[in-house]
Amino acid sequence: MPTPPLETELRRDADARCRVLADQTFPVGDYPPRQTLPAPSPGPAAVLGRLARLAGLGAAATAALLLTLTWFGGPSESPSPPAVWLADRPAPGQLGVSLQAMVGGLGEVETELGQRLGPSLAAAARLPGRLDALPRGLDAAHDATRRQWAQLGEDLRAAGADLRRSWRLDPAPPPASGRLPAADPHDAAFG
Amino acid sequence: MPDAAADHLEPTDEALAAAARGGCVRSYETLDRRYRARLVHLLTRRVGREADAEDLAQATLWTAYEKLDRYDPRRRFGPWLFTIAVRKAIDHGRASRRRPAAEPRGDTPYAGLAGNEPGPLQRAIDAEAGDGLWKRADALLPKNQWTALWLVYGEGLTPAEAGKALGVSRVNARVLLHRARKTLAADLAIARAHTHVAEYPVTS
Repeated sequence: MPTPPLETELRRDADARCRVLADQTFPVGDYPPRQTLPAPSPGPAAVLGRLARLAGLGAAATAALLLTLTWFGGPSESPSPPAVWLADRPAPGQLGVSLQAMVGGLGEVETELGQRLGPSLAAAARLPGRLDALPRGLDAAHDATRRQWAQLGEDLRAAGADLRRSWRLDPAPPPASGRLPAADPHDAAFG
Repeated sequence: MPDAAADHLEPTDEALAAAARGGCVRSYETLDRRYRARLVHLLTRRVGREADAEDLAQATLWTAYEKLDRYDPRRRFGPWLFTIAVRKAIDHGRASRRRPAAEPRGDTPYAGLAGNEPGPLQRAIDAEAGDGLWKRADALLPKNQWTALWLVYGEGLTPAEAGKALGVSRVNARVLLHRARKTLAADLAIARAHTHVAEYPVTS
């Protein structure tokens, strides 16, 4: 008699074993009504989904913040004319000696004041006048400090003059040129 | 394997699961009666001890009851339940390995039974009629091969469903099935050759 294929034998013997299993009796579990079951904890897929949603919200919030900062912190589109427009921005090597002294003096002033001055050249151009009033607002008890301030004021005054000569003032900005930012708010304290 | 004639008289597993999900506890008790012995049988081959398998079958049925909301009634209930059972067995194996005084366990499903008294289910299976092709499978095949073979030929799962239950790909499931059949066929050929020699001894 030919031997049946192995698959046939497997199914036939599995049926025999299933009949044995069907004859077994085990106590049935005690299941409460489903309404009384605690809420199931979220599975891994649900947790990952929530994290993804949170990450998406975070990314959207960051993008919105960046967009807001770019929109409101970018160049102003207000019709008020800017204070100073630079026709050309000179390379650092083209800065005059007085201007270099002024830039160096700015660092000294910042060090003395303990705060950062307005970095714009428009603010720097008005520094000599501001520096004249500066010693009066500071506690300059020592002569050496007064001399230092006076010398710095002279250097910066010369730098301001050099700046005015070096850069041509334009009434309207060319499209490709940058507009100088407004002076720092604390500029007003120095007149 | 479920009785085809009885399917016309009794509600399907899927209908019972849907009713249980709607709040019918008796429907789930019917599912419990249908599946508990089959789960103990499968899990005994996975974890070695029938007592552990009974605990895991209880845990499987309880977990399934809790998570019925996640069961898709368009899919078959059996493969979903066996998938939970295999996961329980894998977790049990990991926990056993972490325990310092775990008893030595081999790779074959029966290896863990060494030194343990067989439970009632095992004794009933041992007494089953036939030439014992599945007894050979019990003794010879590694756990995953045995599980894949039983899920397909014993529980009627497709190879893809068996692979999903085992956490392997469809291709890997087919490889497991192929290797299992190859091992059984070789063992069966040797056994039948010996029988043939015994029936027709070579005389000098």
